[in-house]
Amino acid sequence: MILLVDMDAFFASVEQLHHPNLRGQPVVVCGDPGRRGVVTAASYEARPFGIRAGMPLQEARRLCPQAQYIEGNPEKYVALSLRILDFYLEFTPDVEPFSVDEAFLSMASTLDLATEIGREIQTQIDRRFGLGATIGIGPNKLIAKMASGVRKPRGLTAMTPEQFREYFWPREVRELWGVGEKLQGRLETLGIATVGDLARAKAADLEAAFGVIGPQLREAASGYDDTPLIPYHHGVDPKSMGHEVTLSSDTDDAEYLRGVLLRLSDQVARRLRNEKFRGRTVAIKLRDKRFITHLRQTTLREYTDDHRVIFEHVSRNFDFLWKGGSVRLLGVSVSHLERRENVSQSELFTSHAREGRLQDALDQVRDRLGEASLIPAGAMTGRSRLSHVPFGAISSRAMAPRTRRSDSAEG
Amino acid sequence: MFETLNQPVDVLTVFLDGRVRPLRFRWKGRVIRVKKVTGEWSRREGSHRLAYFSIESHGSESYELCYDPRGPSWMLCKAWST
Repeated sequence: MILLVDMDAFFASVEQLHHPNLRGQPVVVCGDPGRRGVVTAASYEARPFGIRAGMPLQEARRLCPQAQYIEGNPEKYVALSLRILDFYLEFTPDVEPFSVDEAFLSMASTLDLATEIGREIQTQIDRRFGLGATIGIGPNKLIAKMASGVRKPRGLTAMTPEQFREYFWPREVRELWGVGEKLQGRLETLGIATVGDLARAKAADLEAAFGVIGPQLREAASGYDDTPLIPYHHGVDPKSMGHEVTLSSDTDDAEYLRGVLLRLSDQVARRLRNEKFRGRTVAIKLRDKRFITHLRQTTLREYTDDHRVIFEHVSRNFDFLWKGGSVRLLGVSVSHLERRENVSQSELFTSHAREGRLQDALDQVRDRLGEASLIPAGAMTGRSRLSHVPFGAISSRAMAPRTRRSDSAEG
Repeated sequence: MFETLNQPVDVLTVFLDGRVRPLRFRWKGRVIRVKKVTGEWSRREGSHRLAYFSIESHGSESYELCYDPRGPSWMLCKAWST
């Protein structure tokens, strides 16, 4: 059986756990609450006001001005998440983290026994960590994940495939794991409104409309899923690395926007090098003041972990996407990753070798003295608006004397 | 709401089993006794690792403290003010 353990309103619950004054109050975790940005997480006390993750902070404040707006702290949540993962290992060695607040557990047991174990896990999470968790149980990851959404918070739902079909078939197709708003719209044009409609649709029609994913959607709608559970000690390589930032105010200042893109390119490159990866596909995300998101990517001939190469392509794509209007959010990511040790030996003897050694030396300085010790000069443009960096990549201590936090990190 | 302070503070500290723990600290002329460490995490800054603590005082107030092994020194990062 597979169990999906989902920590209830994790970030907000951790803040309530750490600070007794927040308990029982609506809590909204976000970027810098003094600036704009989006809601990262909302406590269950905040949700009846209509607050949900991803909502602009301004709207959340309008809906619930009395909520406590707390600046999120990724290190804090990751530290607790790792302790909880260790706790799961007391029940089974087969634990796959799905996100910072969700994990799949696999165990050879009947549905009834898995339900008993699930209850014990919930009790222990409450007792040891002071947190609530919702658990979904099923014969595969799909059913476990969808069962976890049936009753929250502190819910526990176990489903056989038959119970899955009975419960989900009458529901909107959007409730199927993996079906988003756009896909729902496309399915509806085929007359597919419910999960049951999708399960009963002809495989050939779905394949014609969606390619190989069509029949897979149909299988999922019937509760079939053969995705393996990959225990985290086996390690899974990331598919992409990226950072994005909501700007402190909408702006059409080209120099400032390029400075932000350079800073993001530097952060992504640094993270690639830290984790010993290189990537070939460089992407930019640009959200304008109307909340319309534009994406553009370029696949390079060679793998890179150099911020200058990343920035060069990001900059080119920015020129293509940006028509001079005000920008709200910028993001940079690199995908199509390869482990650095897999890069061919011949590259070591090219002109890249000298630059690679220089980069290693610069990284060593930053490892020793902190990220703020060396920053690309172009990223200092509009420095007073650039002090905050996701995951503290630039030391707040180093920037503190002259700046205040401004931009709010989202990724 | 939280007040961000980042002020150096004197902290009576215990080192036990390789771990550092705050016991009480002086702030605004008061000695604040740590009733409970409600959370603990760390953050790398260059080659050093700073240790952070969320604490609840005996007066049910809430604070965040940071221990910097380079000093060694303590910083009062945040205080909950009503």
